[in-house]
Amino acid sequence: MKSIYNSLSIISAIALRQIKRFFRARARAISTILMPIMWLVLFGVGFSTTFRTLPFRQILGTSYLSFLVPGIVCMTMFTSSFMAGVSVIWDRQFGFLKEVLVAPASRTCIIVGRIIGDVSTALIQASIIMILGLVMTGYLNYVNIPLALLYCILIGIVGAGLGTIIALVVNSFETFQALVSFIVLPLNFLSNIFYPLKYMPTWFKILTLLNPITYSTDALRTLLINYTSIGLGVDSLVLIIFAIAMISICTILFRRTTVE
Amino acid sequence: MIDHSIIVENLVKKFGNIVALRGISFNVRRGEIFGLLGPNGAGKSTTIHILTTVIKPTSGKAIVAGFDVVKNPDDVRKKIGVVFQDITLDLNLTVYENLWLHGKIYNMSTIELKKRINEMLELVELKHCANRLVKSLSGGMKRRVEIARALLHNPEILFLDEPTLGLDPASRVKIWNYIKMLRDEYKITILLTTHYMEEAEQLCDRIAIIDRGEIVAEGTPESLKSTLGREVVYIKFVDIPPLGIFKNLKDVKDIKPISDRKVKIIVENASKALPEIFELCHKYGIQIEEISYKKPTLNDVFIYLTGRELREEEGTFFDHIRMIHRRRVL
Repeated sequence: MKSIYNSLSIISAIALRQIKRFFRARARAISTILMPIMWLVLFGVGFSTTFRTLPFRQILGTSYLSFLVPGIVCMTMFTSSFMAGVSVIWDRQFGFLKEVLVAPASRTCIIVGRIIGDVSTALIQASIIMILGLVMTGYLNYVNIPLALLYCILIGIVGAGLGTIIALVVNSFETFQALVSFIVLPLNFLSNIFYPLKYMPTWFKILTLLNPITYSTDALRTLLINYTSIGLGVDSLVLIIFAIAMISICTILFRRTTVE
Repeated sequence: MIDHSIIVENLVKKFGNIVALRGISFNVRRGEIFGLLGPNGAGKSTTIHILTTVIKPTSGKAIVAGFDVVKNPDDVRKKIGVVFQDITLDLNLTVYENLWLHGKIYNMSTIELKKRINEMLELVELKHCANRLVKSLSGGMKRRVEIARALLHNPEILFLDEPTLGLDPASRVKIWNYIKMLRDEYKITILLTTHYMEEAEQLCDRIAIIDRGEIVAEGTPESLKSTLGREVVYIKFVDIPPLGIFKNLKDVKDIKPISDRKVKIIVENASKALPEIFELCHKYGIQIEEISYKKPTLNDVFIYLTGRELREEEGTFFDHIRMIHRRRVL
């Protein structure tokens, strides 16, 4: 009992630190919140007016903008959690990592704390977009928003985990930045965020189905706009497996982490 | 039987082909301030990193507070406080938040933690800065916060890696006073590294001189200095002198040329040796341009043992980058 309490206390302290750091860097906090809003407004409005002439409503049973909102929420969750992983590199460069390494705390607690903190900040952004999407489309099934947030957390854990893994492996800010465009962009576009699974060529569909973002987007669409291609059961299972795998790999890598 | 807080036996550390530690051994007694004195790149930080469980040794053994650093790292971690050479505070948190986070990671209870933070901030005289962001503090203040943080969880042993590097003289004296107080009043065992000989002389009960990954001497500052004899006479001649003539001096321990016209003569008692030197020079018609004498310092001990200056900075490119980084952070 005591050890569980101790672990939770470490996890929450580290998570709180990640959240504080996020908000202390004001410019970054504001820009990461504005970014998805810009995506939604510019991209969504642009596309949905272009596609208005197309029989979208007949194909999807919903407007393109409503179709896009859950996808943008997932994209934001994944991308900003992933980007938060870079803080491992900062901590190494500015020394704080050593403070953690000499502490008697379990490495798993430290990593889980970091991921929870990173996911929490992303969750704030995702909530803003969901509310904005609701206002813009007037269409989302808002009763399911709390449940949708649960899936947001899952894809956030996957994103933060992957970002942390890469940060632990590359150890340099420049390499991390270079990898971001090679990982985040394809993952966002090789998914069902922008287009429905149904009409993809087979090879593209296979790649898409290997991408965890596809499952969170499907779950969110099911919950928010009642549009399902895979189903909540499979979505939940795949996301949970991915989340556990990411946390495990992170922990293993972090246990091996040293300095210099 | 002497009670040892740290036992190091034949510790070796290799980084690829580079051998950072070539099998060092030393013991630190409970309650003393022990200093590792040596130039940059001697292996001081590597030793601290191994003893604080941050890196693993290639071979050899280290027992800290009764536990093996490789086999029981978590038990060691609970007993030690560490101030690393580079700042390891979270610059974007306040002083109080940094200490709070530390206490939580070390599983201190909230009530105890609040009390300890107050006590430690009072100790390092930074109570008025509790709510300031760390990045807004001066280098000396950051160091003091780090000391407060390292002591927060009541460690038995405190490790200080170059505790006053890059600090102004006033901050340095302040930190020296805290370190002495920790030994005298709190009975904490302290292992510190430094390349400042004044620091080693001022603070340490015992010193190990480390150079190129090896310990070349160990003892109290006094005993180390007395290995050189008590005093050193420096002479600068007008012309290059025949050094042989000084071998006839009474009580002469060693004669070392520093440059063509400069020589260092180590004697038992300089006040008595000086008239003799003048007499000899007069006899052989050698002209003296300057003469001075002093008691040996740890720097002299270092030169005697290694043939190099302690203070000379054999800076590699990497050290240079680090210094720039330090300046930015401090």
